[in-house]
Amino acid sequence: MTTKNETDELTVETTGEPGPRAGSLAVAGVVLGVALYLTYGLITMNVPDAADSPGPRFFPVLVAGLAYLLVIALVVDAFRHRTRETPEPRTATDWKAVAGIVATLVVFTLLLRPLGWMLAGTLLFWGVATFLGSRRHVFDAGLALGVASIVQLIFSAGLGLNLPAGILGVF
Amino acid sequence: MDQLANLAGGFATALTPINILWVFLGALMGTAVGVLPGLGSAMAVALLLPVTFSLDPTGAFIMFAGVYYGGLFGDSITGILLNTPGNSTAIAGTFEGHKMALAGRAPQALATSAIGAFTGGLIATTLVALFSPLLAEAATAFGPAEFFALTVLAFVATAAIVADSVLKGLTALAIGLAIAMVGIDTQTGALRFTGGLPELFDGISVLVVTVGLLALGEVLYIASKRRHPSSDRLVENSGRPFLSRREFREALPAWLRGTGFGIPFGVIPVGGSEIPTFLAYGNERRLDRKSRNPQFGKGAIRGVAGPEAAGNATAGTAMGALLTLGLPTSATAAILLAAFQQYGLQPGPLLFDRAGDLVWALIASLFVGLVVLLVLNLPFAPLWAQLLRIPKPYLYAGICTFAVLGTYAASSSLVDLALLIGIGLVGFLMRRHDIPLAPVLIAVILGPLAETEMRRTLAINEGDLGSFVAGPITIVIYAVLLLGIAGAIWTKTRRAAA
Repeated sequence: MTTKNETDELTVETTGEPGPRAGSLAVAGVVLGVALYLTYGLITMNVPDAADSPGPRFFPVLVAGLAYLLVIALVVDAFRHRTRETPEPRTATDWKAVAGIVATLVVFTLLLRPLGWMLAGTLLFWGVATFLGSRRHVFDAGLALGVASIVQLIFSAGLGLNLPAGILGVF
Repeated sequence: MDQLANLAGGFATALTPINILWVFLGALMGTAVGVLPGLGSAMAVALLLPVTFSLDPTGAFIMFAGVYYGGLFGDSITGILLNTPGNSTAIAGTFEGHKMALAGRAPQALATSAIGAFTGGLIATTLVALFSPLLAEAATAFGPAEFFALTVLAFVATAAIVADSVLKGLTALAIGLAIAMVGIDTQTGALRFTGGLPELFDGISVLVVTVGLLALGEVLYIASKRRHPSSDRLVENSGRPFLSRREFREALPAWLRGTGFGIPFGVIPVGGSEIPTFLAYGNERRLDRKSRNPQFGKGAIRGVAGPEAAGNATAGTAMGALLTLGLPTSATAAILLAAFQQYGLQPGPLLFDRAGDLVWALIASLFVGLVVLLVLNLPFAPLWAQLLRIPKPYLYAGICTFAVLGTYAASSSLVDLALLIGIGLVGFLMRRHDIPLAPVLIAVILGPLAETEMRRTLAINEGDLGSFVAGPITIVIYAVLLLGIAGAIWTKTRRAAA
């Protein structure tokens, strides 16, 4: 959870022209994406003939309408506050770490079935730790392998959860 | 009293050695997850869901009882020792609690918190045990319009009244409702927003949304600001974690007053115990100002006792609201509802008839869980804090590993993993821009119920909009809602004027 202290920490001093608040615009972009996807879904939806009058489109139309209203409100909010508030401090964000972790997760998802949990899980732990700033690569790899193995033992061999064995195929 | 006989039966189930082991393990794991920075009790339940899959339903829910209270206590430990409450509900107790810790009274602060949690939880759970069958009976008078009114109350309360900004709260709500609508429409069988993916026909699992928003979002958020020098400092503490008789006498009225604040809020869907904990804190501070030797600001024991008791009392009655009405009043309760549904059980008025044994075993385990936590935490709370010594990269790498494990183990679906990453990014963005997460979860859980009941109401009354406010119960619910909105506007204008 975001506590007040953390957000205060984020607002380090920034200089530059007052512009629209990047925050509200980014959020407005996400909500617009949601609204457009709902609209596309509503248009392409096949409604069975037997459907009663408040049909499957009724509620989504309300939500999509709310979403479009919110997009407008968020954009207005972003421009209305531009003189009073400084834009998001860019120096404060470590985008490399965020992108690295997301990339690690995507690679994990792609390799999970071919490689199996043990190797893919090791890679995941190692990748996230590295992008969070750990520099002891060899030790990290050992630790990651350890964590992945223990998870495999407890959850797959012990509790019977279905984890892909992959190329190792020993469990 | 039927309830007492049923409860005795519940205890008979809960007190078997294997079930005591489950409560114990649940309390242990719940506290461990709750202690981790950024992860609260909601996350504890979500991450541990897959662990319970291999148990029978009774064992699983007995374990959840431990996890539920364990997570709440874990939140408070980090708040007191590190000044970073694990959950928004632990903030109020942190103000004085951390000051007590800085003054070298950390063990006493933790003990005050643990006993407060025990007192609040015990009284609330007792009320649930005695009155939930009555509440369940009353709830059978609820029709579609009444349930729809309740969901509207939950949505508006979490999105508009509790959140700092109505715009941000509604944004979160809209995202949650959109997620909730994906999948086959249960009433007509129409495919909605699935993009043709068969994996999405059953909708997006609440587990994926919770783990993505709370765990992955938090990891990405921590990563994005990892260059910030952290001001967090773990307070060392030693000494006996027990209260002197004088301290106990000082804290006792605050525990009871806090419980009084907490109990009613468990059944009102306003998104958890932020409001009662702050009310209890404010009340204790007001009383303190009138005394001859004001303690607030120096580490007042009552400033910890009140909010902690209030928080757990709310959690206790929230369980009652979940069991009898099927209405989750906090994020943690929302995930528990998902757990019930996973086992094919629908909480609500009929649950006491259909799965009475399980419900009473669960209620009995709540009592057992409270005792286990007190035993576990009074002496060992400082040990838990050692978890915070794990270096951040390993801590969050571990959280990531468990997040994907939980998600994949639940469904064996790669689509779920992809969704997890996408929702994690949304959670990151929301954290970055201070958008509350609770409305998303409430919307995902209650969205389908809201839609079904709305359409049913309209279908029964042939599209007459007046039918939404026709019954006396709906009028009362909407009146409560209007009062809440008025109260929120009043406090906001007063704050703006100050």
